[in-house]
Amino acid sequence: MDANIIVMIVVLIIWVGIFLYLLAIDKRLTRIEKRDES
Amino acid sequence: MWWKILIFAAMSAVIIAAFATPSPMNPAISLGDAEVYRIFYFHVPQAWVASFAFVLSMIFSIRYLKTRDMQYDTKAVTAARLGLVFAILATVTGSIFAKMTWGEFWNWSEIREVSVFILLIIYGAYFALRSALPNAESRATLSAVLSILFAVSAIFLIFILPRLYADFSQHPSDSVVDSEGNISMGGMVAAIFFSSLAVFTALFVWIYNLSLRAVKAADKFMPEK
Repeated sequence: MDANIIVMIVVLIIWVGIFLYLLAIDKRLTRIEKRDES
Repeated sequence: MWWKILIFAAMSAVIIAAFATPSPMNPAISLGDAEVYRIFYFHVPQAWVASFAFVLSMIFSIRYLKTRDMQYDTKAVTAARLGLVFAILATVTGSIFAKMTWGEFWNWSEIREVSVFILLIIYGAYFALRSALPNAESRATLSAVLSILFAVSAIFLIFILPRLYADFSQHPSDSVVDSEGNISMGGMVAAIFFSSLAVFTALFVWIYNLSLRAVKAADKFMPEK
């Protein structure tokens, strides 16, 4: 397989990981904020 | 939620385009393998976001000194923290590029690398000094003054010093704009590059917001004395 494609897949996997991590923090903060309001 | 999906889709598209299109560098004139120049699509936006964050930190520091409102101190330190993270990312991608083109990860006679090293040191000192002061008000005041001084230094170290001593640098110059201020990239390269710049900025805004919300939540559970 072309080296460019391999690097692209690795970078995409890293990006998906970062995105899901940020999404999880966002959700957790929203939950804390809602609990705090109520 | 829609803008988070947009950031995800835009960054994914930038990554795919960066690797699926021809290299931004002409192989005939490239130093080392032209394929390595694809890192330009990520390295330059990371350096841009770091500079943006340091300037943002300076703006909030000025506002703190004017109003003495602690929320500006929180905003300034959060921006500086993220600026440091993006500066480290830019340094790592820059070192990878240096290894693949100049043969070494780090070269002490390379003015770009030395200037970014000084930048990382001064922001390291900023956080060390912050953590050393127990009183919240004196910490905020000292941090604000340092943040203003360091942001000016950061602009000098990133944009001015490497151009003053261009003879000591192998770093590609005029890669975004040429000496006359015109965009020096082809249509496809410019489209990918400016999309990357926009999506990295949007990602910074999202992470910045999350950081501020996290600080607020932490303050509620563990209020500072």
